[in-house]
Amino acid sequence: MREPTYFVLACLLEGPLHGYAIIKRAEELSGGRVRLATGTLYTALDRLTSEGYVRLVSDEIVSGRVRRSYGLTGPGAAALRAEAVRMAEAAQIVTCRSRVGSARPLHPARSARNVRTA
Amino acid sequence: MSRLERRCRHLLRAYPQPYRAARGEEILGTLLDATPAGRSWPPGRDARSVITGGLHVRAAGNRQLPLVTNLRLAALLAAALWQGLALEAFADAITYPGALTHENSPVSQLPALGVMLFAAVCAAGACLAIVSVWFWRRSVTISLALAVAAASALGVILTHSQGDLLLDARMMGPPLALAVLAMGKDRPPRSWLWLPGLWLTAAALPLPLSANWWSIPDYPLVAGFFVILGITVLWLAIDARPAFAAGLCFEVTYLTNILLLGPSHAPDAGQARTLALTAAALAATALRARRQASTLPTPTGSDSKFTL
Repeated sequence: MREPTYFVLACLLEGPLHGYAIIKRAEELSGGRVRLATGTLYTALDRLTSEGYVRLVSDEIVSGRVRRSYGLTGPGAAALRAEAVRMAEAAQIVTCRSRVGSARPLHPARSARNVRTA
Repeated sequence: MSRLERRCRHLLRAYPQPYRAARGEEILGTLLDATPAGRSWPPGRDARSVITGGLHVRAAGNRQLPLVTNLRLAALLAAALWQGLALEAFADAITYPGALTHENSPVSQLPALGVMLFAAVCAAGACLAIVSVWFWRRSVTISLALAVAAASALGVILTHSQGDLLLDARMMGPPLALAVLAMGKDRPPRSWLWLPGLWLTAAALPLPLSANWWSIPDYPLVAGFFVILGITVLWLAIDARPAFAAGLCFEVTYLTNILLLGPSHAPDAGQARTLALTAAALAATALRARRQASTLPTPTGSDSKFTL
């Protein structure tokens, strides 16, 4: 799952949102790192809807224009959780090794000797 | 309507019309909300994303039909282009009716005006047959194409005996192909109209340039060919069918020209190379068309169906 898709789904965890609200919420959640462009958002929404991860929740007219709100479906929430778990496990591999590495720094000469005797 | 909104609406034209009808106002609202106050242009990254998003939807729309239907539609477009090329002979007859008045020809007794009128009616019928592929029912296309084929056959019968092949057998192939291929249910999308439009414009450009337009080189046609080639190559990203149609039209026209020189005339090395290169390009575009037809996504979040 690509990062913009992940954040679109993550925004909808708290409830249905319309297009511009998704853009703003994704920016907030990612600390300003993910700034969804309008076309990118609707391409992602089309794809997520066709995959059954997102559904159209409501239509309303605001300032003479249609404003549609989208919500997360059951499979969408499950896919988001699975992705979060996968990323947490992947992150753990690095963070755990970094901790071990910072606790016992290898001596270059000793590590070279270990390689020779192996 | 503000200048910003007008510009945003122009950007939305990247999306196909049915998609705009269903989602345009919603995307426009988001685009306007996302544009900082006081600006008369949407931000560059939003503009780019709308254009690429529109092309993405167009590409997805092409995947709604199976490969066989896509190739038949491309062949129908190729027949329309071929018919467009065949118009040149009618134009020759209109502007230079003396070519038909060979002293031993059965049509030598006809007044030049009659020949011009006959060719003009044939040309008008052929143009209408091309236009009808997109705008009218298939029965109209088939009737018009068959009428043009019959008129062309009459022209061939009247002139062929003397070898003055102004209206020769090449005139009958395009309308017959058009009639046969138009029998299918699906029609080509109107987003392809740029191809026959450019083609006919390039072919017709010499007409107003000179009274003796047949004597000037085919520069507009050659320039038009390169413009068409460039656009079809770019268009490959979202739709391989126009490129397939242009290649097929070129291959058939080229092959017909070689074959009509006589059964004993084999293509020389240069001609064989051109034929092989075009066949390879056709195969590549067919493969691309297959990839574009291989999946069947639903390109929208609403209930409406989007077709191009």
